[in-house]
Amino acid sequence: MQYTLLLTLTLAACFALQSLALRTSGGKTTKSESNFFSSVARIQTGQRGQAETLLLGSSITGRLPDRSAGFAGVANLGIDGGSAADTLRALDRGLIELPPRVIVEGNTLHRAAGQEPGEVARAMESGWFAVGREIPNLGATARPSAFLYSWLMERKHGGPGSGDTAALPTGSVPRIPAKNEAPPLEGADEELAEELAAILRRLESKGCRVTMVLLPPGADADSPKRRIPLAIACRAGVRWWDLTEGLPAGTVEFTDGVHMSPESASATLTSLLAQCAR
Amino acid sequence: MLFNSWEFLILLAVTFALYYAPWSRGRHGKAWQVTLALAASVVFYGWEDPRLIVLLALSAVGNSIATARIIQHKVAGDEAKVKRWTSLAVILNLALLAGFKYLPFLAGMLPFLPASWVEALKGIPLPIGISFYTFHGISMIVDVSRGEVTREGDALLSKGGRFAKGVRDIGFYLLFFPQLVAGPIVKAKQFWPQIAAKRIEDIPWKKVVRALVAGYFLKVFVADNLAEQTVLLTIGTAELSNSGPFFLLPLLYAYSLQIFADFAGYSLIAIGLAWMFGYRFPDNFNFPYLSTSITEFWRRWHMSLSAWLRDYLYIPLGGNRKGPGRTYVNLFLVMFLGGLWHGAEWKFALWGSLHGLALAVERLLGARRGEQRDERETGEQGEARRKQERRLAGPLVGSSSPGSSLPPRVSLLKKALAWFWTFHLVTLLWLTFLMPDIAHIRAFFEGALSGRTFLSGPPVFSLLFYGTAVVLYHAWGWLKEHREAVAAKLEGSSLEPVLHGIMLFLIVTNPGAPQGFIYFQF
Repeated sequence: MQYTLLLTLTLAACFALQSLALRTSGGKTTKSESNFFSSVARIQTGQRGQAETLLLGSSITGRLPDRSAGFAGVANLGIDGGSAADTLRALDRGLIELPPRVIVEGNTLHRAAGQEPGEVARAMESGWFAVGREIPNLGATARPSAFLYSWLMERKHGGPGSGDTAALPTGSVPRIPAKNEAPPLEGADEELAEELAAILRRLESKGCRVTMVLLPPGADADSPKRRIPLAIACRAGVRWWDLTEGLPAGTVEFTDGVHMSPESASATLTSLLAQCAR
Repeated sequence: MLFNSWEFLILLAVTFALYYAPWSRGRHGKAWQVTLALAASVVFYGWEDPRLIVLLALSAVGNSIATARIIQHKVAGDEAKVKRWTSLAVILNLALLAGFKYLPFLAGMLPFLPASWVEALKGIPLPIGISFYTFHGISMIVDVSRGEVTREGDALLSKGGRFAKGVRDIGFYLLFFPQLVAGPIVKAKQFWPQIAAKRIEDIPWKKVVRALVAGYFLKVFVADNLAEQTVLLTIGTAELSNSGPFFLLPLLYAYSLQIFADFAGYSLIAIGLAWMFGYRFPDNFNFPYLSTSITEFWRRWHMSLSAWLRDYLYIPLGGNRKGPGRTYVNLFLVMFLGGLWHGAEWKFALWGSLHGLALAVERLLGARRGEQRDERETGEQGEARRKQERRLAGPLVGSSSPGSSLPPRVSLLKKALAWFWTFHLVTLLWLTFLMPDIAHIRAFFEGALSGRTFLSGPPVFSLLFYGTAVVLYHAWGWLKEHREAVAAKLEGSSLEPVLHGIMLFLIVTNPGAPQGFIYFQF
């Protein structure tokens, strides 16, 4: 009897502490030590409540702030180690509710060429994923390890930026590219471009505004990192924006050469929202 | 089916409820319970691939026929026939294992085989758990032939209905789901006498809860979370050789802790589940990373395999009864075969051989030290110490670390150094276990010795966050061994439910991505 009572009290205390930590951190943690759980956490929390803008992509997108950091209506669904392909497919299949605006990071779409759907995509169809989406304490964002890891990350790199950050001094704006701008693709790249372009057309036909973007650090003109997303945007007839075009060198800071620092990430999101909301 | 899956929890709940249903207390209680547990085991085993059941049924019926014949001849006093049937049954069990596990491996080494044959042989799938239920089958046959497994009415086992009951009971022993796919390897002489009607009020719930909470915690919280990082060790040779020691070494330590948490966690879950159904399984792990020698490590790690190898391989080979030279050869041979038992790949043979070599060297050094001390000691003092050492001798290889007559501080330092050496040797040898091939091991060392200072956060974080649980688990083991009174006090105190509460909380809120158990592949 005493054993059961103490066990129950301990469990209750643990869940109470976790709820408090979750509340203090604005309902979500920024990162966990695991790419898989970081991604699952973003998608689970991103689906709670109504989002105006969905950010889809990889860990490059994952570093961008969202509504928990003052960017109202923005949900970040970046998949660490993955790409936007899995979340686009989930949107197409109705696993994720369609918002008015979707911003797709093109930098990492080439990773999905010739690959089976990733483990995050498989997780999105599981029962425990749904449970974690509905019950915050059981979601990936409320993992005790994620609280500790986020705290350590914030100590090292600083916390997420705020909604009033100045935009990047970009030298370009989103535009709908001409069909003949589409770079030629082959094999698995071609199949992927065809599949994702069809998905984007369907999303737009349902009233969702899609913008394909190339985020800093960008990519060379001949690189598949640029060729594939540009080809998809051309075929789908959606807006295309390479943020690095005309961007003065050194404007964006990176923590490791690929991922933006919190300040640069906030500035990038401010730019994205300013342009894509039009 | 995995112990950490929803399907399993449902199967467990249904089986448990029916197992102790009111009618299980009747005259046919035992028959009901054994048949039900057998049926649940078949569902458990065949869940992913029902075709595997055929092979398992073949093993159960074959071993039952052989057992019945051996008992029949044993009762008739015809030892020649007992030996003949025993040899035949052991060979058939080994043939089953060889056919599925080693033929594809051997095929690749035979240059005269046509390429299409090699391809076809390499395509033979490895049935899950075959290494475990084959060893159970051999244990059944050998224990019966030695007269160590007997039951009332065994003489009639070969007749009609009794044979059917024999098949059912032997099938139950081979298939009982907690130990079916990854052990512990329960010997027939340990399991057979336990087959009887069980009552729910006899379940030792304290032991069940302790084993299940610790088991699921080690597996779901520690091993599955560490696995997400250690998978980086197998990404590719170029990536390994281009990384640095601060990336690779935390991952290697993490793997060392992960494999312990994975297998010890599985074993604890199996032991807890067996208790729920009224059966006692032998312990499989006894805080192995407290070991101060490789000899001691094998007394604490996968103890049921060590005991099996001792009883059915080391002792029949002559053990240590045929002189020191033969003992070293036997040790090496047993560990070499033990390594190959883990998998039909040279890397496992290498892993086993290196452990065998370490055991033989330790025994040689231990024997030399013993001789030197014997020259110093005389009379009752020496005899008393030798008696003590014999009493403490381990399951496979006996004692190799004779008692020390050094002052306490020096002795403590020596023990600490021995622990450090043993842990690092064991950890280093896990590389041969984990890496797909020698090229990966070479690339690991190239990276580890490169001097690059690249540091990745997640592996270090995971090692510290999840690895601490394994360290604390072993600290608890140390307390149990060296401060028994304190440990006993803590075990029954209010700290236990608090600790269980925290562990349950972490199992529910901080699990790793579900992974299969490492030992399922063997």
